[in-house]
Amino acid sequence: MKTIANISVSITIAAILLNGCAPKGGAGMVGYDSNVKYGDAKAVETVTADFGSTDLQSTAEALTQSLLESRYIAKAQQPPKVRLRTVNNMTYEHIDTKAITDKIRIKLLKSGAVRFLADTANLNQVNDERELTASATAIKENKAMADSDFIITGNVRSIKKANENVQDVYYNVSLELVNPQSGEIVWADEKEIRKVTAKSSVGW
Amino acid sequence: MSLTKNSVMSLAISSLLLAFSTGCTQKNINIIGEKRVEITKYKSVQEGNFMKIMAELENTDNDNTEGFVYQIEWYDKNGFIKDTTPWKAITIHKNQKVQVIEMTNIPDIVDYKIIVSVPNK
Repeated sequence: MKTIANISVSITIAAILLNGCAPKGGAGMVGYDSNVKYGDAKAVETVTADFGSTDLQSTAEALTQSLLESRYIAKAQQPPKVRLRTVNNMTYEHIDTKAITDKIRIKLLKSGAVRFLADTANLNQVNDERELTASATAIKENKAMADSDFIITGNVRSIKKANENVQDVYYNVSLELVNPQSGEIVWADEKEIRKVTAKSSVGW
Repeated sequence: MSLTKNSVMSLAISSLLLAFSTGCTQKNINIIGEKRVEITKYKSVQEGNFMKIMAELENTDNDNTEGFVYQIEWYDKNGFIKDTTPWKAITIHKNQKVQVIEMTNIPDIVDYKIIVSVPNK
């Protein structure tokens, strides 16, 4: 009888000890009680006035909508072949302009209204791959790869102003759809963003 | 007296109809947080393969400019959510209306929901 009681006490103590050592959270969770938390990737972010995720998302969204409405895309007999060219960053801060065009490309590809050719930056890799399977048809195939109906180019600009109370940042992202054969600009649009930061008046 | 009774009956029936119709049309709207902003009208149109919506948002506050965010959820014919816009910030001055227009980037969208999130003061 005494042995059974001893075993029960031992089991209880072991269970308490084990539970005490067990990390918080549950199955599929690591570091549950840390300060790191996942947030909404599409939430409006106003941590600083620099070009941020919200600006990237809203720019891509607005310019994609505009491009899909342009008659050269919307009224095309078949989805035109488009190649992304460089979008120049003419601001004073580092902006990954490829992130903007990549996001637009993903959205346009999902729409099914546009086909994309490999970027000029990736053409070397595509060519390397093609050389591996070089054949008599290579020249014809190369032509197909070079035949873009349109290219997309653009610029990102910013104007910053500040006084002792307010800092104002204006971003302008403009894109163009150009027919590379004729050089004609068939569509252009811009996304404007203004961010105003009120400087704290609390001080010594 | 009977006229008054009839009027009351008509009023009650009208109120019920209005309540039902409002309940049906509100399925496309979800306002989170304090109700300091109203969606006064909204509609959708089909542009080729893509759905386009318009919503008119009103700041009903007489004193304050309202800053809030909104998002559109896009649904397919099975009621599955297929895409969402990013949350977008918008500011409306007191007693003013703003019209927002959004278009989906993916085809085969048949329904939508406008979500407005108003911060607590």
